[in-house]
Amino acid sequence: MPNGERRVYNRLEVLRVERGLSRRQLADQLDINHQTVGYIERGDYNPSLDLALRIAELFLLPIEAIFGRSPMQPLSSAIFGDQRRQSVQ
Amino acid sequence: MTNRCASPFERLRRPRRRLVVVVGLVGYPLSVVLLRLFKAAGLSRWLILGIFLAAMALTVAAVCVGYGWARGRIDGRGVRLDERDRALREQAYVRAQRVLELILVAAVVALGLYLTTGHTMRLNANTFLPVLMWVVVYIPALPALMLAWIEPNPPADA
Repeated sequence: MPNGERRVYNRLEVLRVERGLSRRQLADQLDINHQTVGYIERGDYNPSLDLALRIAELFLLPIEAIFGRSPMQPLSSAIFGDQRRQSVQ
Repeated sequence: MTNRCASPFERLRRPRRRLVVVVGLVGYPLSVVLLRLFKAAGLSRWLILGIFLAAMALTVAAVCVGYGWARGRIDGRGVRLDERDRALREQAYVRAQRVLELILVAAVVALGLYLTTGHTMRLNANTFLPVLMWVVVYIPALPALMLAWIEPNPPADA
């Protein structure tokens, strides 16, 4: 990642593995190089808005469920943690 | 999308790639300087030739490896570049321009100091040919070498 660029955290690897896709298969669906998927997962490359939107469309998720400015908590905690908090309240 | 680099050097780790770039960049000017120094010291012609050829072979090999590693991704021939490749290529060109600026400024300052301290310089084939060789070889190869310098280690396959 170029110096000075803020890191964008993501859940790409979890979502890809969850759907049983290899990096190459995901890359083919997104029309990018398979290594680019690896660089995004590793946080070495921040995708463009266009690519981020294509990823969100592919996984049928809102973009903020995949990318964020702070380290991502596990999806299960993000979903069920909220539900639990609401039920306690 | 087509695999962008089928080179056997694709898996070179960054420290090794950077070593290749340094050898490629420094090798030729160093060879020429050593040649002049050894000539002035009156060393055997065969010894000078041997050292010069060895240094040049190392330099040419390094430039070929560095250029070969990044060639397709710099000129875009035979491979489709995605957005990350294109962004990295732009960074490589910017860095190549900075390096070129640095080298040109340093060379002009050094020449200026040399000439203003009472020395003279004759422009003939002996002085012009190394500069010509450098321009012909390095200016086209510089962006590829810079790309080899900045590219991070590829992620492990999954």
